[in-house]
Amino acid sequence: MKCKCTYLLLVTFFSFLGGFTQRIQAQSPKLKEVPYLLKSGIAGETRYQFAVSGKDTIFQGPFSFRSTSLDAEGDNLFLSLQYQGNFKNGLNDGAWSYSFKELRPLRDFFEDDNKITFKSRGTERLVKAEFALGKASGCWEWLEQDIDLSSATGTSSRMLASFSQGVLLGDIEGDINGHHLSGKAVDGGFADGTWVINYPEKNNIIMQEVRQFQRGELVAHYLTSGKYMLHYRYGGLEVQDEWVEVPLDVYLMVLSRAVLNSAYGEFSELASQTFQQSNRLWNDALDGFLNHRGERIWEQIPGAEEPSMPKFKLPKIPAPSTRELSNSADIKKMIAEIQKDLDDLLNDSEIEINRYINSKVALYVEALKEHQKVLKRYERLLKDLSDPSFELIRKSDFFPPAISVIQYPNRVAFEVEGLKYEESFPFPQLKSIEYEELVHLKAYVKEIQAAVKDLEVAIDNALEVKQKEKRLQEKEQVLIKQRDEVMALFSNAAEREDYNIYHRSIESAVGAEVKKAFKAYAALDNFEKLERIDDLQQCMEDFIRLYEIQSAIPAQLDRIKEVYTRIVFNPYTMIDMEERVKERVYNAFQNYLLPYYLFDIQSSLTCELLGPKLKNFESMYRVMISIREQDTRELEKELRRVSSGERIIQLLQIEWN
Amino acid sequence: MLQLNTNSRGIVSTLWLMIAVLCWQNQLSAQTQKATFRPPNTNLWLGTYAKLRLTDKIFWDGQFHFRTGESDNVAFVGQMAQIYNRHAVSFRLKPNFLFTVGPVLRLNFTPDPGNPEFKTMVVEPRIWHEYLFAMPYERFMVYHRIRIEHRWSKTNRVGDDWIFRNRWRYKFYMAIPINKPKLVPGAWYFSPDVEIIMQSGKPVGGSPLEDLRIYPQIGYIASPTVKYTVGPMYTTGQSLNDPYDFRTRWVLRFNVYLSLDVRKWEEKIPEIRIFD
Repeated sequence: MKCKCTYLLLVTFFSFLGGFTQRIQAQSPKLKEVPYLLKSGIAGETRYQFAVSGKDTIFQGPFSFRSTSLDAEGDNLFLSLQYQGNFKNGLNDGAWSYSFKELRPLRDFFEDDNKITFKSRGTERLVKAEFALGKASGCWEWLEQDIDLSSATGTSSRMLASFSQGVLLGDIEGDINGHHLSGKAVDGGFADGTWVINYPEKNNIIMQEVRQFQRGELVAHYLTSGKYMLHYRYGGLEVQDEWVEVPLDVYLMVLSRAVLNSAYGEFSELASQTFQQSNRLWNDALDGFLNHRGERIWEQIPGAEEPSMPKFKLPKIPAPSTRELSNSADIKKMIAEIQKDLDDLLNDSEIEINRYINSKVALYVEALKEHQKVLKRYERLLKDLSDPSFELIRKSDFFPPAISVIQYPNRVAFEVEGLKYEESFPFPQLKSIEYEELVHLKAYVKEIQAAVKDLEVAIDNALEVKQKEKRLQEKEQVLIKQRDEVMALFSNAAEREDYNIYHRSIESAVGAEVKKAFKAYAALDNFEKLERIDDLQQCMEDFIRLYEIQSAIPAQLDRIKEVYTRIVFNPYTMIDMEERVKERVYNAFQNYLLPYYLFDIQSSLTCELLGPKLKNFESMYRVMISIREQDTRELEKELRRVSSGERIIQLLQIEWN
Repeated sequence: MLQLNTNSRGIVSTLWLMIAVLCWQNQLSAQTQKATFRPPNTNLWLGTYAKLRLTDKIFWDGQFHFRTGESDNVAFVGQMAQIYNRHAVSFRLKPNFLFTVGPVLRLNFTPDPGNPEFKTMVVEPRIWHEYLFAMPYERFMVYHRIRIEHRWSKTNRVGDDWIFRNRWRYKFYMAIPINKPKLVPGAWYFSPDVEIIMQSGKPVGGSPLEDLRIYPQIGYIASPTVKYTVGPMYTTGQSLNDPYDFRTRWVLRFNVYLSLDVRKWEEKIPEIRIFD
């Protein structure tokens, strides 16, 4: 370690000069031993000299403070705090020390001058400082050492640093718990050069964390371990025309935000831990000079100005624009909405069940999960961007690399029924990575929102298709039953009583048509089957309905015959005799219309044609029944020479399909 | 139906008993003489029978016969024999029982045209009433017809007086469908028909059996309203003046039967089984 001798000589000279002047004013320092209360409230005994300066009493000359207490919480733990130094005109001057011991008495004790003395074991934090008229100056040291049998046995941590005029200047070096740290500060206290932490050797490999500064600005940060090297990448820290000086704690916080690897990109566990640990080590190494147990060491006794630790430069960033804030709020709102949609979808029990059996649903669910991952990272990015630390990070530089590492995968892996699949998936692509007040990100998140909606629809469709397939299966079961019923009916498998010649006459044609329709149906894919099955079911129903209609034909013909029959009592035979009335109408029906109908049905035994024809017999029947009650003289005249079924239909005004 | 059948059987039994008594009386008086049967005459009877339904139970009955007989040279249609008009009102008292009553006016033409001893035509009025019992069976019908006529007649011989007689007629006939299971329009049927006509009155004397007619016919039911029959009829009966003298005839008969309903259309509705 090199001390700046010139600085020391100057400090000594001015101290001497100042002290001399004061002494003249105070005239005669007096020794005093009184209880003293530190700022932190710790009570102890001081032994100091003081002088009277005007109406004030000021410390002058040697000073010591000692406080020994039994820790209220510790088990037989003694806490011993000791300051020792020298004042000059009420200001710390020359060598000072701060010692804090945590000791437990050992069993070994002895008597000396009527005092029972126990040997002890514990630790001591010792800070050795140099002041020049209240300002840190010269070499400083802090260490943490172990004490056993009342003697120092080893040092666990020790740091040395040089100060000048209250500012860190020169080398910083030391060890903390096996880690060796070294760095340097230059004029103004700016960190400069290489700041290195050598981690303890492990498996013959020494890991080294290196930060390179150039007058307070970080220019490189990397980690080496054997032949491996990892560069920590930062965005938005580059100092340009304007900058701000920040202390170590703020700087470390900004670093942790601005590092791209850990927050937004791939970062190994080791690199992440080392990053955090290195920050803590540097913080501890420099903080050790100033703080202990949560108390600021050099503020407990008046007369010292707390020295400035190394300074770091960060860019000066203008406040975010209204548009930027508005965009950020909009994006956050959209992301929240999308996340809610995603949560709803991913927690949907139907989707959850079907994702294991439906490949499309499984793919879409994994795509949703990718959206969820990406959006979480965007959410974090936006949260970070809103953090106060980003008032010191240039977003336009930080944003592009940060957002670049947030990407969707090209392919999505999913699992269905125990089998693993992988498919490419068209996730939305970010058009521009530039920050530009978050305009591009906002547009992109909108696209993501739309994509999630599309996926929701796609899942619904996939589920619907699945449900349709299920319904198709159910319908097919019904359809097969219908087909069997049709075949059984027309082949009279059950030897039904209502089976008649009309059924028999079309038995083979119906069977052929049913087989043909099924053959055509079987050749369809599921999608087409879904579209066709209702028609085919209707067709089977039509055939069943045809059977029923034909079953009723004999009775209906009998009915027509009966309606067109009058019972006449013949007084010669004394018998009620049947007499046909409206004979031409009846004969037109019986001889031409009915055969025409039967021929028409036989010619229409296809799924496409049959349905409308089913109403024809009923229409014909109704007309025949109703016409019986009407005056048909003119009609009968017209029917005189008509033998065409179509013409009879016209004349009888039958609704015919 | 059972009651009707019982009634008809009673009537038929009474009739047979009456015939038996008449025959027994005749046998007593004829013990010493032998009956002779004249050679048969030939006749042609063309008849139209019409029943017009007036109400649900009442019919008007109109019958018209155009009868020819043989001449010296021509059988069956050689000369005009009679024109026969029978009118009546029929009451269908029960489904299988028809009662008829009405007048008859028969025109009897001279048996010997050109002979001045005979009037060309004399009228013969009658009052008749008839009781027709129908016995339906599953495949055929059986009929018992009792007809009683009160007749005022005289021969065509110039100067003859009127005589009054009662005729007691019983006819048994059947209608057996041939080509159909029942008697329905389009059915041909066979009708065995036997009628015995007894007479009574002062001029009758020992000749109560006026006529026995055996008349097998073939019929065709063209429609519920029209039917036709055709058949040969053999008849024999005692002459009024000589109980041992039996006339015989072969009559070719052709009849048309019309059953018409003259009621308004609405009144026919109850018989149409539309709402069965």
